[in-house]
Amino acid sequence: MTLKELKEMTELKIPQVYDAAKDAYEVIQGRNGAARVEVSDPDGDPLDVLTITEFIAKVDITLSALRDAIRGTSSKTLTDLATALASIVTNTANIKIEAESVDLNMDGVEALLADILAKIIAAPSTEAKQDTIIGHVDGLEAAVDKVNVKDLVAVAPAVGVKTITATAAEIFAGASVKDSRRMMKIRNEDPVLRLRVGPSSVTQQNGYPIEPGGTLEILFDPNAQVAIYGISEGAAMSAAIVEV
Amino acid sequence: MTHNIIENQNGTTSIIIDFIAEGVDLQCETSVKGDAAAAEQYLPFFEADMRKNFADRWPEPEPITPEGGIE
Repeated sequence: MTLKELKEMTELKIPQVYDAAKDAYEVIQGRNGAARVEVSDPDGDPLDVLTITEFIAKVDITLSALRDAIRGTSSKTLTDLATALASIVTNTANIKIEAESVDLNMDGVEALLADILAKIIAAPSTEAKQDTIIGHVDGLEAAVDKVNVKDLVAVAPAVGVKTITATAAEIFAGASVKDSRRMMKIRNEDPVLRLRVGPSSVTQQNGYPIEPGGTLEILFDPNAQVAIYGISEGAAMSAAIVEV
Repeated sequence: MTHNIIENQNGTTSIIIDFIAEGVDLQCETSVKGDAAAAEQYLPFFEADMRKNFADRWPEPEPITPEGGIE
């Protein structure tokens, strides 16, 4: 039965394809129940399709070219390759030796540093000097604190008058010496007589003089009790005292 | 006022006075160079100074009103 007869008999709609070159529709052809397919590129040009035999022949040619490329030239042998590899191994060994040499040198540096550290620790003079410096710094800090504190009045000052006689007596402003006294100022209020101050051994000859109308300021360590005595060079006289 | 004089070992003598007998809570202490005799000599001056310096602790004296009242 021909196709025409089949069409007429079954009135089947046969799959067709448009042939632009012929400007006509043709029936899609095939065999063994499968339609024939033609592979083309995006532009519609048919591509070459290799058979298995053609493909194997091309792979063989490519592998041969690759082998020659690896060898460099076709005259190279496996012995040449082994020699080249041996050279690489030797160079690697040399690099390793140099690295170990660097390690040894580093060990020497570490040993030298350890030696220096041991000498520093073993040298008591260095530590003693550091302690001395620390002591000086502490002293400076304490001095600065005192200077700052001197100008600060933490509690009310004590004021009063004191009669200074020819008997050396302790000088203070209140009922007794002010606790933690930091400063005392003495003003000689006598218009004529001079008074002298000093320790308990003060006399009319060796005491530090305060002229009539003159003043004397004495700073104290608040943690130490220091008595100041005053004595008149003549009759009883008056002095104004302030303690902070 | 009561007082106590104590001779110290360092050539000084301490003087302690107390005004509690007068109703004033005030104790004062000083020291002088010398022995008890020197302290006794200085005591009146010390007492006077304390009375002057702490005068505010003593009560004000009663004002004296003349007999017959004020005209």
